[in-house]
Amino acid sequence: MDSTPDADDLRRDQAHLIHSLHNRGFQEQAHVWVSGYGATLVDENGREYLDALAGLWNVIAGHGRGELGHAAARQMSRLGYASAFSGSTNRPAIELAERLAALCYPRINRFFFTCGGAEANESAFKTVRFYWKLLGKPAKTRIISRSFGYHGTTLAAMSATGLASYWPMFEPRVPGFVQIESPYPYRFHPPDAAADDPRTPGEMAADLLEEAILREGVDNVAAFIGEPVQAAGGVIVPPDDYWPRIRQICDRHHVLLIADEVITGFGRTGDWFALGRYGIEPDLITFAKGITSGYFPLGGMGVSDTIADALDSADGPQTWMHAFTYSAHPVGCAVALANLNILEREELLPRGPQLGRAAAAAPEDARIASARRRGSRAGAVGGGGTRRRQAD
Amino acid sequence: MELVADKRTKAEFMPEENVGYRVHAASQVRGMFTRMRGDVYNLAPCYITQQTQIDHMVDILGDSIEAVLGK
Repeated sequence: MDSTPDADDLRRDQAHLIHSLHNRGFQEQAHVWVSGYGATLVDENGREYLDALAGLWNVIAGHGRGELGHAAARQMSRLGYASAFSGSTNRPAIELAERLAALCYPRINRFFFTCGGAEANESAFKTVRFYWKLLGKPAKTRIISRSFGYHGTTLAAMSATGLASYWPMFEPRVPGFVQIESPYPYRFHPPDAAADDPRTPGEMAADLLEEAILREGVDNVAAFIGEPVQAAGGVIVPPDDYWPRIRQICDRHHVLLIADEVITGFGRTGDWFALGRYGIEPDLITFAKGITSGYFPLGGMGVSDTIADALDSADGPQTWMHAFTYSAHPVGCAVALANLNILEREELLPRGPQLGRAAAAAPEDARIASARRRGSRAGAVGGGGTRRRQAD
Repeated sequence: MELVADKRTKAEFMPEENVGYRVHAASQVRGMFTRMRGDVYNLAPCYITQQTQIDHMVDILGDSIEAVLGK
């Protein structure tokens, strides 16, 4: 790298900060980011960088949106914080939940807010267990997820995350979390499939869920969690026949389907949420990131009307004793509302697929073995040692 | 974008080659920043990214791969 980080800033950083995925070597060359505009990040040396990942997949409306800062300032001046535990609420949270109900899957109309995606997934794991206990099936506690899946790094979320590099220094993982293989089209190899197996790769990958449910025991499995497009695992778009079959398998065995839309939510695939294009709905959805374009930490969980009714029915010792101080934070909800206004006013959602097509079409390049895209996440599979087409 | 040592066999690079990290470093020199998953270069730009910027990102990525792996 040819930029020279400010030595004093980095010295102070290294003296007092622990970073996510902490690595002292990487931090020697860390960027000190000081500003941003549009799709551009600026470091303290004034060097500009195209932000290829929109922050960490979250800055969907782009950098430098003063409007979001004004929304936060207005809400902080009026009411910076108040409890939203049962018995309290606030207007930005009410308005945001109502707005999400209109944007989200038809059966999902009730929302719980968190500070981010890991808390959202933890909330979903606890809620599916809660739901089955209420229904008199207390053994249904296990969660099935997939290799290459990313669901966060708190202890249960880490145990669902299917990237093994996140585990070893923190194990043992939480019991009851089980992984199946990703449907990753580039690398999926159906185990023990006969040559004349009539099923498609997508169907075979989905059937791994059924095998896992039967292996673990139908009465022991609470839910399956998956990202509609696996993102942090490497932007993995499944075959089109994968998700409909997953939904059928979940229904057949009374297993709840949690769609982790922390990255796919709010337009990344071109739709507000990603499973609608497959003609299915999840039972629970988790979201974060794009809901505020990253300007304020906010995530959450949406649940089906059936699960919402169960929540409403619980009382006394069966109460849903799950809570976060910052759930339904009025400032976060106000920023989210302003962000949704931007996405709608500037009609940014239809741009997702356009950008994806552009990026996937551009490198007509011998090294690219296959390109995968859904919306504006573009991934491709390529190999070394061949010639890239001249850009001009 | 998953970088592989051999397109035919889909063999991965050896971890000690640090191919992903080196491509990430090369792309930063050229003015682009992301986060890798091993040897997978993730692209998920802001929705307001302009067409010329998308083209530039593709060029930077191609040049960076070429700088690390050769032609």
